[in-house]
Amino acid sequence: MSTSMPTDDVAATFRRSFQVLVDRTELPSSQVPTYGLSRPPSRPRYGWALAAGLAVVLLFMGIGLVRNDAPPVQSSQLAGFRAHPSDPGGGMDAIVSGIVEIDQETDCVWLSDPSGARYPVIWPVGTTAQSNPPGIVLTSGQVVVTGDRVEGGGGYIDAAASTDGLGLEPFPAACVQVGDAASFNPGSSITVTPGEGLEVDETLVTRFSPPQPIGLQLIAVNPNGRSVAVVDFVTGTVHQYDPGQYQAPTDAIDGASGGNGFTHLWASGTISSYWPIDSDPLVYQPESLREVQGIAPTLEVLPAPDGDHTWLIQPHFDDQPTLVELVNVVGFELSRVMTTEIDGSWHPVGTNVDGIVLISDEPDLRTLVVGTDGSVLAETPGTALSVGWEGVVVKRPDGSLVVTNTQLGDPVEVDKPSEGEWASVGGPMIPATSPPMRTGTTDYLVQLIDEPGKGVISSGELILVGPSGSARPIYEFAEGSHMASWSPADFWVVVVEDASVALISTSDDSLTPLGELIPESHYVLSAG
Amino acid sequence: MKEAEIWLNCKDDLTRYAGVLVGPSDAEDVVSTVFLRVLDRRRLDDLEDARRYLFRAVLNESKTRRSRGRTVLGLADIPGPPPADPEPEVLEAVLALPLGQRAADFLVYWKDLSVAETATVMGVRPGTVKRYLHLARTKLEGVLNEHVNAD
Repeated sequence: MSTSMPTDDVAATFRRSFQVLVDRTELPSSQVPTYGLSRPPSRPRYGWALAAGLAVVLLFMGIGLVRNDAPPVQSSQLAGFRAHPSDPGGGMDAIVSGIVEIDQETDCVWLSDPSGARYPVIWPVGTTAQSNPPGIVLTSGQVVVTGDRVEGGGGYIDAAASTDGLGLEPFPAACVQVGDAASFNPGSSITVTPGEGLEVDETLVTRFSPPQPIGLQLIAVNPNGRSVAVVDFVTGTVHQYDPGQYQAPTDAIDGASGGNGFTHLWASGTISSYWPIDSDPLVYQPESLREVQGIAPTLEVLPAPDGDHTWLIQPHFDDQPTLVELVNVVGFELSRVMTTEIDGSWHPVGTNVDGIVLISDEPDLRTLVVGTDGSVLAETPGTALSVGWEGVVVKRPDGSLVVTNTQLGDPVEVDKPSEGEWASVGGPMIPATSPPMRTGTTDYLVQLIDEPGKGVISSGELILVGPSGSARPIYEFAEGSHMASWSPADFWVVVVEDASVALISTSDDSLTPLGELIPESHYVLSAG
Repeated sequence: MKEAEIWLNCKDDLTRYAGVLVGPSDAEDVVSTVFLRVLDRRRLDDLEDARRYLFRAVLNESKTRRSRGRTVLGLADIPGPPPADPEPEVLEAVLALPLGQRAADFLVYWKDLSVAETATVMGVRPGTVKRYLHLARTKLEGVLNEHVNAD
């Protein structure tokens, strides 16, 4: 019999672990920073850090010379072009490198890195821009054009602060996509490798401007083409990975799920887990793969909220039970935690730390919670629509909605804010059962649909349900494929309607449309 | 409060916080970067709660660095000889926790902040802090139990 660790020991272990980190962290000197700032001395054993720090100080001192005193420097023919107005000496110690892009529509000048992120640029003093043909004229007279690779000393700093501190006009909003700018040092010499082309073009579909970097990814697949699109809300990029740009399953992709940076794709009962998707995957199958002659194995894969564990569900077939397995993929080494069989046909709705929530409609609507040890922890009539951190939202057989605890107990009635029928918001984005979306917070996302006969593609309202039973409409869905899910910090709800993606702030319900980000023939299968 | 006083009052706590988030080696660089950025944009003494603002800025800067580098902290990121306590596997498990969980644990277990205070400092909702704490505890309990049972 195993011994369980008392809770206080866990807290004490956290403190001892943090003590190690705190003890090994050198503290800055008490030297008071001012606008003639002298950065606190750094550690001699990390010379690069010292150099970088001093370089930042020197740059900042330079910034201080013009701060709030110098008039705005007029930009050149390209509205998004910026260059240092003077060279006070010094600078940052990092290397700025990337492919130049000059966008003739917006007049933005960017450096793109391999992830597809675009940074507006502050060029060395003396650099100018020409608009016809569009190019950047270096102090050497060399003209840099779109597709050229450039490299020089500098660093990446907040875009607004970078121009403000130099007395430059702010970058046009369209040019600031990730929040930071690439800033060459004022006196940096730039190495140019002509005509490499945009390395990211092969995979890049489009770019967008999230209101802030949000640790959220949408994963969309083209089931037949095996192409995968990743919508990354940190870099504001949409990448399309075709077979050859990642280790694609050999068969049409059955599904995808994600979370914590993982992308899980599965096809014919074989799962490929990527972190990130262009790295080598961990490939595995359920311990007991149900194979029926002439029928591809059916599988659903759900990451557990801890990011380490993954649930594998093989639904019922004929009179065979539903197979549920829990595996651990941390460190990219597979270990099997538990396998169990459940009589009947069960489909997953979501997971929390207690286990997985499954639903069945044969013969009656039922909801089940299976724990991480394989035991059935709770069962109740009705259909779970959403799984949250502290409970489950269940639609009762009479059509009413309740919020329960994680064991499906202590139901609290939810008042309908408007007419309609309660339904889930997890899909389908393709004509099949879609995997559940991320388990986000203590609140729940459901919808009130207008025409029950049309199912979850009916028009309706997206409703935020609170743990106390409150229900607040936050968005109106048009008829058609749509879904909603949480951002990891729970401050945003991402809404997908066909190809369009929008963010809703949960603090003020404000809507930020981001446009049609989902590539043609791709269907969103995961948000996390 | 003058900016100099704010710096003196916050610098050590901010650097320790950064040390837990990005590792001791990069902590000072994170705090310096944050401080310079903040100073460049506004006067600290204009802020309603500069300390809270700076803590949140350190977390954001740490997230930005992580998302660029896709790095995970490990024992190799701790300078000096291997610590005797806690066990390497346990410390590695703490280092491997996602950034949000490590931040929440540090603020609650080290700084003794309440869940509500931690949520305010991190700029997330209290429910999110509870989730972070629960996930981290579950993870660490598993590692500790393995040790207890192995012994």
